[in-house]
Amino acid sequence: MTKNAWMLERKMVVIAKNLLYDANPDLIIQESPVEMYDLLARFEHNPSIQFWIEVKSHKANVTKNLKGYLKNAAFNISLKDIFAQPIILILVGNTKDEPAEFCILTKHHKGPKSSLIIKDVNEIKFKSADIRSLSEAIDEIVRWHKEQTLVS
Amino acid sequence: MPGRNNPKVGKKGEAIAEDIILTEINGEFLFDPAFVGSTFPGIDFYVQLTPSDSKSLFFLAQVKSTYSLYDTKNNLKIKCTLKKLKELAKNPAPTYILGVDLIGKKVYARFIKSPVRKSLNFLPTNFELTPKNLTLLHKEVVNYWKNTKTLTHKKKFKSITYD
Repeated sequence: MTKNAWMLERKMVVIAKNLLYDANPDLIIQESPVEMYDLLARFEHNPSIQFWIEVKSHKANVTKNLKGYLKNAAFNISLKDIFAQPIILILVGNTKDEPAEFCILTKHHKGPKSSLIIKDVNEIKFKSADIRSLSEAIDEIVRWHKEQTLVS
Repeated sequence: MPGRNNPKVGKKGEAIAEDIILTEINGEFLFDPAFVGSTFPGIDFYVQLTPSDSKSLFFLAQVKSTYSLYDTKNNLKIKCTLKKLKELAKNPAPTYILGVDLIGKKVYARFIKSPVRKSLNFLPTNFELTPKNLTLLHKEVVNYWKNTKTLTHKKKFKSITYD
């Protein structure tokens, strides 16, 4: 990967981070400690609630790259329980003027209500990553986490 | 509205500053910012100049963010204590305060020049980090390093590679 291509990827992650902060100012977002994802989001007052964020170029949506990523993710995610937590996949353009899209992915059928099963690669559809939609998605992940705690 | 010392305000400001520093200008990124705030108190970003002819030159940045925005003279209302400014001014590397307008998502820069005699209560807004000013900032940092003896300094601990 060239330096410029690497910088473009970094820029996309920073754009996604800013979208998430706009959607929910209570988030604490850090670089992901695992290679598979770009970011890890937590809540300041409830660190047990967390979710992963993977950022891909908008262009990946129309190529085989995204499907390849999702298949790979589906395989890897099933390996460890830590990845049972939902993932927000954000597709961003190379500039902030290009509209971003997102979806919530999960590895099993008991994920957040609107989440998509990561194995059903062909079924995955994206929503506009506007502040309201992202905010609702984050709220849904929080509710889901709380329900899991109640169940266990 | 979150308070000035709220860590959430700081995180959001840092993310906005990082985004602006990572502006692509004519198909090229001029800066490569690395967040070091959790490692070095007082410094938020180590920012390397990216084009290959820049010889890994860099500057340091401290980010101050505000929702309070501007005073009547259009200065950004941020604060930095004299103690902190003196600490920042001790750096031999070029060091800047980056003031972030959290609503308008604008970033303003100011070089921290030694000696520092008083605390900072506002930041002038005549140096917003627009693409044009980012280019000027890049030139300023290159010139800063050119005018120091750092690059031509004679080393006692000579390496075989360099001899």
